Amino acid sequence: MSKIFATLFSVLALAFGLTCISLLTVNKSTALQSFAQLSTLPGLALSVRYFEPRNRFYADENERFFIDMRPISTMDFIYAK
Amino acid sequence: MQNKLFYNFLFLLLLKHRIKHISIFIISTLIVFILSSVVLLSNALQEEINTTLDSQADFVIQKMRAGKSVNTPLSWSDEFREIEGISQAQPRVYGQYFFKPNAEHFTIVGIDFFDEQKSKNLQKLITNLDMKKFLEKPNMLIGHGVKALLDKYYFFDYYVFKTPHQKKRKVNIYQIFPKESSLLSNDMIIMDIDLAREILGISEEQSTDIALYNPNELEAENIYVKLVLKHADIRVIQKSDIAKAYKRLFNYKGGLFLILYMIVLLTFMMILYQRYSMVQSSDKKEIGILRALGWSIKDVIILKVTESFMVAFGAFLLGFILAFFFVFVLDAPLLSNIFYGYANLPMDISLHRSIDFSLVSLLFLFYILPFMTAVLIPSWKASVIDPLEAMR
Amino acid sequence: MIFFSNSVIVFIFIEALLLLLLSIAFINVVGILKSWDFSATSTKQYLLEKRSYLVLLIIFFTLGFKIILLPYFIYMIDELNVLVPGAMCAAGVINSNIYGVYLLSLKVRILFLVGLWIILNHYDLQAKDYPFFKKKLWLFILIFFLIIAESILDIFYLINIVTDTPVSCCSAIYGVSGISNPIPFDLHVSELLGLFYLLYGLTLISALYRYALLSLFSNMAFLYSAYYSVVYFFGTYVYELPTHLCPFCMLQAEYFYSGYFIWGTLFLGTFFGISAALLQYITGKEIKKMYRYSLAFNSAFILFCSSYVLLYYIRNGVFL
Repeated sequence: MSKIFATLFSVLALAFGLTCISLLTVNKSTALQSFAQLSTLPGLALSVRYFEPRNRFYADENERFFIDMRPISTMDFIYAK
Repeated sequence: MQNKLFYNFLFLLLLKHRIKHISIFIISTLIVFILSSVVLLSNALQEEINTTLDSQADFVIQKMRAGKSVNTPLSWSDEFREIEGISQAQPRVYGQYFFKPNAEHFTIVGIDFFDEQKSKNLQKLITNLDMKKFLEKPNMLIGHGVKALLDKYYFFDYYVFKTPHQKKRKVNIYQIFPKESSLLSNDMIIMDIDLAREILGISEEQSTDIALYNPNELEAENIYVKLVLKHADIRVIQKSDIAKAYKRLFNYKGGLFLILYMIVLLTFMMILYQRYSMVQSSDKKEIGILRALGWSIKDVIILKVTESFMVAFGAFLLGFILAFFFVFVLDAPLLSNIFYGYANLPMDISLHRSIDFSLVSLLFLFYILPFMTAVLIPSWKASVIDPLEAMR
Repeated sequence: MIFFSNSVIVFIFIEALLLLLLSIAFINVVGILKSWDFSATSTKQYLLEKRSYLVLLIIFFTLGFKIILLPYFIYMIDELNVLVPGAMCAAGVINSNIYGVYLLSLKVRILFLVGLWIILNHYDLQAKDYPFFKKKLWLFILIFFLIIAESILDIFYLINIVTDTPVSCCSAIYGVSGISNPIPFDLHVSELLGLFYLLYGLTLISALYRYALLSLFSNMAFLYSAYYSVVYFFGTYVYELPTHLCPFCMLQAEYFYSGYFIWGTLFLGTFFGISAALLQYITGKEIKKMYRYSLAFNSAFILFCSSYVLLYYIRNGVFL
């Protein structure tokens, strides 16, 4: 009886192994990379309407830089006094 | 205990109780299948898009007015080229073009084909492209989604763009981008930079934004500060921000799914607990005989836990294989809409197979562990039945 | 946004499940400890023995998964570095708030106790009359309270990971600041290295001749010196960059995940060395296997680390 199960499990395990191997041995196409080099735009061509800007990956991260730091111009002003 | 006879006996038991196990097996397979499909799909897309990160500009400069980015003067790019550490400053021209008949948006990208690097990239992307012939007439290269849409309106060879100045501009379709690049190129039209300026209405002294390249990663933070301080109405986007945005996009969609899926798993655990807590009199007798034959409680527990582990593991393997087939062979019909969306041009891409260690461990931990957690107490309960009482 | 990260969701879910199981076990353990008498033949003792099977099953299961969960935790932290500005590897994420370092050290300590418990359980089950039964349950209670503390720290740590302000990256945390020497006792790198190999020799002797007390102290000292040696000397050869000082970057794919091997063998080697002495104290027996494992893992660790230096020298003809 265990033979049936053993074969069943080995078939499953084999299929699992094959999927893993096929996943690992894939050669990545360079078409996407060359296209990215050509356009240099990061936005994915996911479905976007006018209210979702195509370049929405450009978030403004300016603010985070000056959280703990005063802008230099302010400091200059104080020292000039 | 752990020998061939034990497994032989275990499989016999499994076969005998197949009615009891089959429903659990089917539900488990389904649970693993859905979970794996979503995770595999999101991971495959993420891996694919992450390979393009190296090609992105290190900094992107935009001019801001009233919270909107406006066209950047070309004089800025000369200014930024002076900053030490910046190897290249490239004004870019791109924008949305509204396709009125279908109310869809194309993305027009203007490329300077006389730039050696760009033309080299183009040659790599599209084999045997004759640059001379391409530049002779107003030509464009389009993505698959654009091609499908234009075909629908019988624009097989050309399309007539309308410029902001009410002029008409006929541009020939030269070639289509390979399908492998659809993730980026699906809604894109690439044409000569001057032509793009005319269609998008960007004057000669302006560009949409400026891409800056900095070969030394360690200088990035310094250059960032210098750039931010240059102008008051400037927005500087770093490459790491793009990586973060990609991560967030896929984390958000995958994460929302996983959070909801936790409820499914908890319910599943309840069902398992109920199912395996039901000890029928025949089971009792079986355990009683085993105990009478000299099995200790520990042995019976091991038998019971292994029995449920076999069911769980078999379902895991089968579910994962089905998910693999569904995602990478069938290209995940229906499910892919969660990630692609369906508002704009329909996307038709075949995914590249990809997997990593974290993905398998995530699936394994997220499924096997709840399963086993739910069956521990029922297995114990069944095992400690008093043999005398059971045999009576 | 950290909480949307897939691995974080899975991690929290699993931690919660394991905590639930452990709580069930804990309630049973308290009941068992209150009225356990192995020599008694009462019905109560019989029921308690039945329940002890459940307790042992749950503890064994959960603690086993705890061992898998530590590498998974480190992997998760490493993965988060994309979302934390300024962080290049797990070091930045761990140090992004005050809880991180304590959490990690607590996790390692718990793992140590878990290993001890599993070995003790093994020897307890081998003996017919469960001689260490109460001892291992007390050990479990200690582990349980530590795990509760760990879970609370987990939540505090994950909630407080900042995603909007920059954190310092590994070279800022571990680098030489110029004012003070980061290596303890103001040692020079060469002195540290001498000490490191000397202590290895000591663990070697203690393992070969099975001196319990020496094994305990030499392995502790070895662990301490090995940590600093890897960060300030061997790490630079892994990265092939003299200024790159970081215990976490080597866990990344660029360095072929070699960090998992380095820290794994170091942990196992010193764990077996220390637990050999502790188990001898608890069980009163000398367990030869432990010394052998300690010897094997410590040697694997030191060979692996040294091979990086040697290979670099062979390839380039100079030391960093």
